[in-house]
Amino acid sequence: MTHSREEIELAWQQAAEQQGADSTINGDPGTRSYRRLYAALRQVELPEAPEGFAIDLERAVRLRASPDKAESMEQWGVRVGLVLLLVLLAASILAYALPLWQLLTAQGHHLPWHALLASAVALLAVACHDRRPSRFVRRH
Amino acid sequence: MTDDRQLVSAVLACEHGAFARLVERHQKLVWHLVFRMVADAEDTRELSQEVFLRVHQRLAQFRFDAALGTWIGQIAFSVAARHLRRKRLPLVSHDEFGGDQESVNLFARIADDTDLEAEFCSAEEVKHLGQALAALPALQRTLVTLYHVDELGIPEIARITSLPQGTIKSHLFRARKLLRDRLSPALGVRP
Repeated sequence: MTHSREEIELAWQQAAEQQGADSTINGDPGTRSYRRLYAALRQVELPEAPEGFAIDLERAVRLRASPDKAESMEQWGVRVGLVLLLVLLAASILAYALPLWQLLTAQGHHLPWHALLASAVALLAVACHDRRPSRFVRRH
Repeated sequence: MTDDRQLVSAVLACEHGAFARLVERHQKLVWHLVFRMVADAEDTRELSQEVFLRVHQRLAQFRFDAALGTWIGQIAFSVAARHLRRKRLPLVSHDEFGGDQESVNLFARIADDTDLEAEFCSAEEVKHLGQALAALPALQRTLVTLYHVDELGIPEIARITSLPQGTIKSHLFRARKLLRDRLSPALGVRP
């Protein structure tokens, strides 16, 4: 009974797997060629993930998992900055307005309304501060 | 509780370092699979990151109906296959023998023994084999790598690729035959 070419090749491949790297088994040349191929395949080098790949990924998923934390930290920073600005502004206004007020009231004049208006505008700006999540947090 | 279940529980509980451990455990399989599919180092890195980010997103839905590595492999295969589709690159080649349609006298080849010591392979052979492997269609080189390098069984490869076991065996058969045929000329063996 003759076997097809494919059947013969398949038999060689299967025999090579069964025999493995056992050097005590001689086998026919076709089988041996496949054993050689399989041994070579195990030696082919493949690229590996770079150092730190896993740690970087963990960091990325932690950042993704807590956008609220990132947002609140950012807003906290903005609020602190605004408060400091207000304090400086208030100090400047008082430093300017108080002696002037004393001077003006001593001479019968009114309060410096422009200074008071500037303070009101600053307070309005803080009240209308954008409370939406920042673009960075929204994008990531 | 198995290792897989413990690790998954730790990741879902946001335990520090748990996800990094999961990645380290499975990055080799993912990297090999993706690299063999897309054959580009930069794309491999980007796609491997995408694979693990998806794993993290879907981990809560994993029901342990397969090994964790198999499930991750499925995601990796799916991501890589989608990348090839986007780039309009074929997964399989219709011309499976790459144009080497030589008429072979099978018994003449048997007489030309190329491997006197079957368990020994020179660096030259390995280098030629690497080139021949890279020239295979994406699916075949991936299957050869998963089977012979990562030493996965046919059933597991079938689950990862969603291909029937018979199809996988057929691809492996053809790929091995092609590699063996291509390796022979490199050794200077007369046909």
